[in-house]
Amino acid sequence: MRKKIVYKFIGKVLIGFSSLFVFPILIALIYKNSVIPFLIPQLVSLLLGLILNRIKVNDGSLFAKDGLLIVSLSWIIISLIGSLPFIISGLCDPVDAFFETVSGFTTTGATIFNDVEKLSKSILFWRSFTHFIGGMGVLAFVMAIIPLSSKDKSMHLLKAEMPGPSVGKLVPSIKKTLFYLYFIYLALTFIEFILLLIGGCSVFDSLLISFSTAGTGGFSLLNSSIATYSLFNKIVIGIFMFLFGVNFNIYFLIMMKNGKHILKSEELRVYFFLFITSIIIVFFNTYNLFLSAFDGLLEAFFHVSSIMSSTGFSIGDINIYPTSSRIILLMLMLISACAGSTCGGFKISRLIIAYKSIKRGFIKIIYPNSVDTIKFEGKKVPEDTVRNNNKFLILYIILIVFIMFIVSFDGFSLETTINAVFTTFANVGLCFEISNFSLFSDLSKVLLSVGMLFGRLEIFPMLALFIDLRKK
Amino acid sequence: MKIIIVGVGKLGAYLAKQLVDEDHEVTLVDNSFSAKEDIINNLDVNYVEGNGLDSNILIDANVVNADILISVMNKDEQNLMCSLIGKKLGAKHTIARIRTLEYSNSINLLKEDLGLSMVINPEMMMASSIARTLNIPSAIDATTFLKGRIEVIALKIKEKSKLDKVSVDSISKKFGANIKVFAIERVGDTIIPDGSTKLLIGDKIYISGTRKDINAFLKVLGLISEKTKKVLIIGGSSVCVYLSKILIDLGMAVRIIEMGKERCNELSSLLPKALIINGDASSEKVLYEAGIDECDAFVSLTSIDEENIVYSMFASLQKVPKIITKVNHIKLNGLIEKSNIDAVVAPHKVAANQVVRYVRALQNRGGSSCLAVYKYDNVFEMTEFSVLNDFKAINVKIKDLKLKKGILIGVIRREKNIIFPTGNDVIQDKDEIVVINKNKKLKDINDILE
Repeated sequence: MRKKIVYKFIGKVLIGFSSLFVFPILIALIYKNSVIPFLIPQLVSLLLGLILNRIKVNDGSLFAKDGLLIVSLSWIIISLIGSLPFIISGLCDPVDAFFETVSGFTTTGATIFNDVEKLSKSILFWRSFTHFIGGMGVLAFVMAIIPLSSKDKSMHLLKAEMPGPSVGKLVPSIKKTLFYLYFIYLALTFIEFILLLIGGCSVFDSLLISFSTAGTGGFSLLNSSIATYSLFNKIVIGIFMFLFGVNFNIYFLIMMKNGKHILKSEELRVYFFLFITSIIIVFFNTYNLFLSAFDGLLEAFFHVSSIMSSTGFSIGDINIYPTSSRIILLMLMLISACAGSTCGGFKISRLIIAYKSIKRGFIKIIYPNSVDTIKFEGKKVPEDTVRNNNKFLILYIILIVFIMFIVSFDGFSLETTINAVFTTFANVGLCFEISNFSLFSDLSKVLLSVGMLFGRLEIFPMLALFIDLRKK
Repeated sequence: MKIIIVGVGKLGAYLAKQLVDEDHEVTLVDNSFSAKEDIINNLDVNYVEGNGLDSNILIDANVVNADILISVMNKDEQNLMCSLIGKKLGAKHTIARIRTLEYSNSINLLKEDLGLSMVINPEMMMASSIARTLNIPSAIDATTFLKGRIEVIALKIKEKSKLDKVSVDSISKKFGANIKVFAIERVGDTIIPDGSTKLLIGDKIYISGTRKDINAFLKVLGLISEKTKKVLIIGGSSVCVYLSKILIDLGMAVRIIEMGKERCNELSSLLPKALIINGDASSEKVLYEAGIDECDAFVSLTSIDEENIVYSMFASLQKVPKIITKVNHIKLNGLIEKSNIDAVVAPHKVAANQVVRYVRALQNRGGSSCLAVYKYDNVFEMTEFSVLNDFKAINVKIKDLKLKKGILIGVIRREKNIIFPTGNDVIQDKDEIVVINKNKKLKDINDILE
């Protein structure tokens, strides 16, 4: 019975998703590329969606498990359909195409293409566009555009897709919340687009880089990523990567002219503190590698911003960095930026809650009868959230270790293996010693893809899927 | 509209659901949401955890821009204070639940001085709803509208009824009374009838007409035996007190069975004209002593749903003509409809419907406005509109109107005339009409058109 509700909703998601292929088709028409690679997945998505949407269901609200399953299944199906353009264009085999698409939707930005400059404009657009869709979330998009019945307006869906330890709404209605979030998202993207145009990029490049930054993805148009763009644009991209790592609630408060609350945000403060300290350490650690101190500062700023926001753009060779800088960057990959933004990783708010709960644990050892409620952003954190937070941390590490073990059989160096798993799981996409992931075995590619989905959807939705499968 | 509900108990949660269904932006405030996960996950609402009397918490809930603040916490005093604070902070309208018997006498004083827009007393609202139903024999539900000019009652078509297989069109002619069938509930489904729809045994029908016509109709059907005279009430709750007062004023004899000795004493001083019996209604002897076999109506109002249902089943065995049961918690749809119990009432539902009605009236000021809404368990509703010339199909014959599916124009009031429209009637400027609709929310009169 419940299965039907899940399938029907996925049908709605697919119908909404099919509409998105209009944009790459438009680009293909403008640049005289073939539209077939996009037309076929659009029809597949639409037809499958219409069939699933015909399922008759009894009334009933969604349960938490349904929400988790809808989200995880939707993401997998969409990734499969989204990989069709690569397969139909004959660019790569299905496993590579799936890896590339998952990397796109999860805003990782790890690629399997040796030479991205050879790709057609429409394919390049599709890669960056997947970042843009995936950044805010596929379901968020669908829920914002299609009419929903009251039982569909369930927080279980939003909770399963939105990043962060506790998901709230900006305003009472889900639709309006999503509207505001998308407004902020589009507005920031548009501002970056304009600034990049001013900085001398072509319209096409500006658009795609803005998409990639907005989703904190990291697919670029050039093999050298951002290295050859103008100084102004490097700074713009660096700043916007940082901005897209900020919790969107902050922008909403600015919109509502509640500016004074922003300074009180613990997460923002920690984000800023980590950001600045990391830049300073990396800078002093690496500045003798550069011709001028400014170049060193720029690189340190750009790479810290890129990795912390889980984007994965680069403007230079990180491999020449000393070990300590690379370790800092690896740690930042896992920590990442704020909850409620488009970034990946563990999220600073989780770190803060974990820190507070560990601290409480220690106090409890010293004063066994002490009682302490954990507060975050001035509000009490429910005990369930604290427990889930810690479970999340442990699961995160277990899954990373497990994937690392399997990937290690591909025979890469220790650093590359660790880095490849971190960078995919935390949705960063930047890997130190290798420029792309095409050399990994098919098994590793599939596992890393699943890892990316685990990372983007924050483990629990995907886990629900596996638990469900096992029961069958 | 932006609405804040302080206190998420049974009434608060039910209200939230109703108001969200009407597309309002609802924010809930409560001390703890840990036991209310279901509400905040499945309802499109926002919530703020904290004490509703703390002005910071209310400001967090954006009371400054709120249109309505509804305060339904446990205690009346809290609700009064919360409304006061809310009003001071900028809420445009405040609604408070005040249900203590003693306070209800001073409600009017409170209302004016505290700037309350509306006072909810669910128990009193429920009592008057039960009284209305009891006042019309054989009806299982009754409301009035168009300022009391016409009544809508619900009837169950029982075995061997003359209404079996009669088409809706021919009722007026066949029974010589000017009445109209608004809706039919048939095996869990609601049908908005057209002329040719036929009635069947087991249907619950909603018919409307003037009091006189309805009485005449019930008489022809043989349903009107006599007026309800003797009422047996189980449980001496506050609803019982309100209800008894109304019934005694209407000249009915009221008997109350109450278990608590203390409460019986209180009841007897509050209701000197009622017969108070101290005893346990689960004993046959007590029920017979109270005369269950000779009463015209049986109302079970104890605080435990299961008891109420069981007592009502027993009353049904005793062939009491009319049985009304209070069911508060149990949400097992279909269970009670299948049994022989006529009418089920819950105070929070009665109260919530009145609030929803009030909110709609607030919303529709100017234009062809919606005057009142009557909801029947979320299945269908009747909406009263006053027509102005912004209605797009003025002076168009009803049969030529392109109405949406599931919509029926029930009544037209033109000055002093009540018209049950047929295809050839038209809607004119300054008419008042009642629209019956299923599954749709009507915000504007033009919503009835395709």
